[in-house]
Amino acid sequence: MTTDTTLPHTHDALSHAEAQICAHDQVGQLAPFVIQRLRLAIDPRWSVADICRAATEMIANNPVFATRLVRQAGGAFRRKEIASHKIAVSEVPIEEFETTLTNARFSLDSGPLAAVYVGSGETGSLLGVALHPVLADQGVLNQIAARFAQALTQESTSSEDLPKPIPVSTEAERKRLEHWRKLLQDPEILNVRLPQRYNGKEGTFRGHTQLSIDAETLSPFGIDATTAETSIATALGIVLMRYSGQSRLRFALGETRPFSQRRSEDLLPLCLALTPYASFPSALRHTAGAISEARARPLSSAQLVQDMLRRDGADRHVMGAVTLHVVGYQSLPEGLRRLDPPQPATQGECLLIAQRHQDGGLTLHANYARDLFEPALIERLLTHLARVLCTGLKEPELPVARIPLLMEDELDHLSAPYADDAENDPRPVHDLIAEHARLTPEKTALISDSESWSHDRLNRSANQLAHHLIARGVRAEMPVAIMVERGIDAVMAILAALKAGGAYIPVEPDHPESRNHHILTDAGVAVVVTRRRYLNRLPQGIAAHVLCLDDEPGADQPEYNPEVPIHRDQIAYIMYTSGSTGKPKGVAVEHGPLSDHLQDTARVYEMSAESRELPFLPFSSDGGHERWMNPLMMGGSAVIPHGPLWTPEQTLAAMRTHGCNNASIPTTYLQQLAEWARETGEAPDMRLFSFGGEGLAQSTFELLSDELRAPLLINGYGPTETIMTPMVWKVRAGTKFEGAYAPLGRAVGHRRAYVLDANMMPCPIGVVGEIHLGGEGVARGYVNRPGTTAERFIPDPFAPDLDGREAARLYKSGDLGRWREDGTIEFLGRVDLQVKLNGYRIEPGEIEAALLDQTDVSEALVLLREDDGHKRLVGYVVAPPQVQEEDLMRALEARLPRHMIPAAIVVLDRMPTNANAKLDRTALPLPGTRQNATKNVAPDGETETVMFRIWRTQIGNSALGVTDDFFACGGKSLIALKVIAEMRKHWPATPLTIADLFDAPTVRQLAARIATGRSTGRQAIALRGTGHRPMLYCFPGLLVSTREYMRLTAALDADQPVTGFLCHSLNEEKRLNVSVPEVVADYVDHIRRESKGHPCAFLGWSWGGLLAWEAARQLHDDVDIQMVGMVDVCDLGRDFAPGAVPEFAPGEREQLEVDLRRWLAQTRMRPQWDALIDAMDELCYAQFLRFIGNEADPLPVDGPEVSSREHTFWVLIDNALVFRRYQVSRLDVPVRSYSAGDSLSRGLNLVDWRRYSPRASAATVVPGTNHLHIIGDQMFHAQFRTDLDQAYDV
Amino acid sequence: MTHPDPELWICVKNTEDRWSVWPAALPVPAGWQAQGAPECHADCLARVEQNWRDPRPAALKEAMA
Repeated sequence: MTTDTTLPHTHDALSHAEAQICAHDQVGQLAPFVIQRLRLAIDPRWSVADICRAATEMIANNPVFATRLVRQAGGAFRRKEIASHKIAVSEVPIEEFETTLTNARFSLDSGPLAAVYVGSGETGSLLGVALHPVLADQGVLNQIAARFAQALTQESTSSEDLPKPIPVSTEAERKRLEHWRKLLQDPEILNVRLPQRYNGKEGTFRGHTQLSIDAETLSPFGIDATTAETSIATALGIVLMRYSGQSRLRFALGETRPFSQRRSEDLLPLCLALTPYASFPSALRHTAGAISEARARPLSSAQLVQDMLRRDGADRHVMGAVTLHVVGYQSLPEGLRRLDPPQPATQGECLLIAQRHQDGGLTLHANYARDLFEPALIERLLTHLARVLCTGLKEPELPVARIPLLMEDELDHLSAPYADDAENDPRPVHDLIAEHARLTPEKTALISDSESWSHDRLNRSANQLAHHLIARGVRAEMPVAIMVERGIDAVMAILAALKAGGAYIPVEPDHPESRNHHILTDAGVAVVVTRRRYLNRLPQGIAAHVLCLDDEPGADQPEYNPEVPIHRDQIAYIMYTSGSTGKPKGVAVEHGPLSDHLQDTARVYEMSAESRELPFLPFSSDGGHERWMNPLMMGGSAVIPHGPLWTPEQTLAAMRTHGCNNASIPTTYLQQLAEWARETGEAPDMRLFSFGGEGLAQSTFELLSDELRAPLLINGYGPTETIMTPMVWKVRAGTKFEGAYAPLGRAVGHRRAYVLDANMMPCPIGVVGEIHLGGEGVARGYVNRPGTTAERFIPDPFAPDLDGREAARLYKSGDLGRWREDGTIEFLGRVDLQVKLNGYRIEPGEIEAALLDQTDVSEALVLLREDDGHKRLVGYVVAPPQVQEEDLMRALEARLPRHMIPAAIVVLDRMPTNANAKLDRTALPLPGTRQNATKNVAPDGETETVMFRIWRTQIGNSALGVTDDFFACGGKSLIALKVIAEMRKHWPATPLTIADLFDAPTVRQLAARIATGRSTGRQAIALRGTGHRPMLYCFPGLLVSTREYMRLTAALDADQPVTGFLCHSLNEEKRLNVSVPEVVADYVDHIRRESKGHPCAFLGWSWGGLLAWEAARQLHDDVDIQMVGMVDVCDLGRDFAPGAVPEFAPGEREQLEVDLRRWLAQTRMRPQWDALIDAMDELCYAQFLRFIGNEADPLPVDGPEVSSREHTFWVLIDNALVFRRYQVSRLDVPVRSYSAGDSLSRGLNLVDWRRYSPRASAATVVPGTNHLHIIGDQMFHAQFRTDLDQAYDV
Repeated sequence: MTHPDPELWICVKNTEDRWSVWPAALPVPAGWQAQGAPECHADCLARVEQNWRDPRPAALKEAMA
């Protein structure tokens, strides 16, 4: 290694991007940067000698080939051009050309950073240039290609370019930073993301795909160099607007100087505000303006990213989750052809590169996070981008919101119902049922309680009542209310009403009186069929005939089928919806669609004369009627539950007793039923379970699939307005699905199901929209509400093109959904419950499902609260008091994307309800106070009083009591440090540590420790005390509270025990000249005591990495170290590196010494500082002066309390001195290391552990996080967990 | 360039005498006829409320006549 301690000239300094690339290279992880490779095909008119001569000339004329990097003390690199170090051209056989070029590797410290190859064969030759990315990008390759072409052909090409000046910090730059910061923090501008896999996590694996569009397809003339970038950025903006439903959005746009001597590639965020109804040319103008506005404020993206990442919870992809580069190659003389694809840094969840060809054609390349996106989704994204671009250019009048993303055949396929060619019987449902009284009169039709009716008896009774109704004047379009409890009589009366030509309205006698009165008066009921005991529940003065079944109204009527013609368009029933707001609305359903629906459904459910169904759904829902009509019309039978709601035990017993083979169960009841079956191990022998009514969570589906053991399962979905269950998902038991809720499946019968956006355009697969149902199977509308009917039932624009008929209607369901890869639809929540926060569209249902998956959580509700103008997502769960909000939060962090994590979770004993037993949203408590934990117990005695005051001041929670848990009440890491420091001041005789706070987390418990004068003195905390895997020991960074490891612990396997050591700088009095071995002595003792002879793993974060290394050195003979995880461990920077001589301007050093003395005269930490300065040698003292001279802010005087700036400053310098004296030794242990993207972007001197262990691997880079936040980062957790599994070989 | 106004709607009626509303900026689907001039959404719904008094489809009205 060359070490140079003199300060080099400025033009040798590396730019932000170059330093970042070096940092990546140093930890062995060049990605996202790639070796830049130029490939030129050269036709045979030139000899190999010509080519080699031209290549040699190219090398001579390009300084890049003579550039080396020189490492300074402290790790930073400088550029140096060494004319004598020019590289030579290597000739290789053509068959080895590609392998040689691909395998070219470079070392920053030693060899050259470039290689040039010439391969020759009979049909021509190839020139290959490989360059380390620190030297090259597309612009540099272009420059080299031009120089080569010029040398070869002697023609001059225009390629002159000045080196890009390295940005310097100026006032203008600060203003630009301010401008960009404001834009990036604007919650109205969405950092737009593509639809992700369910529970998808961004890992390190990348997928690739590409799509080529020829010039003519694009537009008559293809796409030209000057407009390519704007056109493609516009098209991408439109596609992303269509995907996200958000018109103000941003993505990252790349820029590289077309010809340059030095790397210039960088990104800028492109913020667009698109107008859905604008034309493509108008969107183009907007985008062009936005691009030039952005480029007018250039700023190195590294600066912007570093600034943004200072905040915890910052977006991982600050510049943009989607990145676009538009690249074109210069034209080369005839006989020369570029073969290399563009190779920009792979930044963002999805990187798109549009490569423009000379002929005006285009190739779109995508490079995406493979664990986050379905490959098919990215392939479609490219197709949609191409479609929008081509259509936009060719049909400039079309509003951009109306450019079709789906082609007609795709829509046909996605919206298609279950395949079914059978012809339906035109007769109405009651005729289909009556048919079986003729065919199999004695066969059982209905069973309820102790009664059992044959098909014949049912038909004769219904006929008698029907004749009576006809005599009472019932006819077409006339509503007949059936106010009879669920049972055989109710079914008989319904059939009678249908046979008479009337429209039945089911009324549940035990439903609230106000609801029933509304139903009985709203539709103009002509006849009410009821019982005497319900007469007092009728509204006063009702203008209808009232018939009581107790009076046997049909007794003297004939038993034959009445001959009443039924028109297809005549109403069969009116069903009142249970609407959560306003009065229930009556939905009128006509005979034709009803009969068709029931016949279609019977085929999907594979119903037959053998079917015996237990319909558990209530008669107040239309699904409850479908499920008795279906078996009866097939000649089968139904067992109607009677009396109060059956227990799971009764329900399963009834299935067995009566030999049921089908059951239809409300989703909300399934869980109990499956749990009972699991506990008793007695599931009845069933063929089919169908369910519906609400979203079915994955865990519930798996439970019922495993425990109820029916071979066939059907998830039914459907608003009353689209008749019973217009969509079903029919699967074999054991089927797995991705998503929070079970899929809704496909449409049934002559219907189609669509997912549409706000502009009535079909959404591509994976994109969220509103579910619409169209075709024959929709209701007539709402009784007496033509306006509401017109609003919800809209013209169907698709049917005429998709084998439907003209004049058809579509029903807007108000439910959100998306098409899945298999073409079924997934439910995502209600349109009116969807919330938008910080630009993200969030489905609370998805978060609720994740909460419900947690042990002991029985109910969950997530909503957007707005308190004091501050919007935040809050989760409410019903769970026993031992459930900790923090644990739930960590569980959510481990499964949901960051924008879906609620700001707070509140655990409740029960959900608050209003007088109508409905959820009372206004009574939900404000988060921040733990409802069932804060007992508000007042302090008792002096110790408690003082301690309580300290806690309350620091935590700022007024509801705190002395028996409340410190951490559960809002005590965060930093607060813990402050509280400990305060308490140590008050009770110096009992030096409490973080360990005490962990063990005794309430004021009362801690006060008791002070009373007995016993603090733990322990250096270790059990972060997870249980588990069978080898122990993981976490070594602390400087000044951390050890709680930082809790999130990591939660993300690891539940069987993984974790111990955290306390930071020595928090425990010990300031002691100088400690050595690393002294610091770890207590940790080493602990590990030896606990794990001697056993396997274990270490994790060291930051400074803790050195501690872990030293502990490993001392212990590797005693314990079996299976893995050492090194998290962002930095070497000493050039500030304090031995041998790094600081430079001072004339007189500067003397001035700094004056400043230092003045400062020392003021500070209360004078003794500590004096001791520290005394311990410095000459060089170190000079470095210290340089260091304080570089401080932007005045030197701090707020010490010596823990967490004061001055204390932190002191610890930092002290630590540098300790570090300076420590020699990292070589050790043969397995090491996995992790580097924060931000640390690399700052060019920090991260330790490359491969230098110290033969079993160390290159670092994993965790982008979008920094040195402080990496320990709580989800992506890091996932990678660490995988690596630990691998190390343990599980 | 002027864009179609996405806030404007029209009343439409189909061959079965069923009414609905539709965005004025989009082509009217086959089988439906515009009824009157574009208006805001609420005004269109109010117009439907006034004009669609008999909810029965055309064929049923004819059969019952």
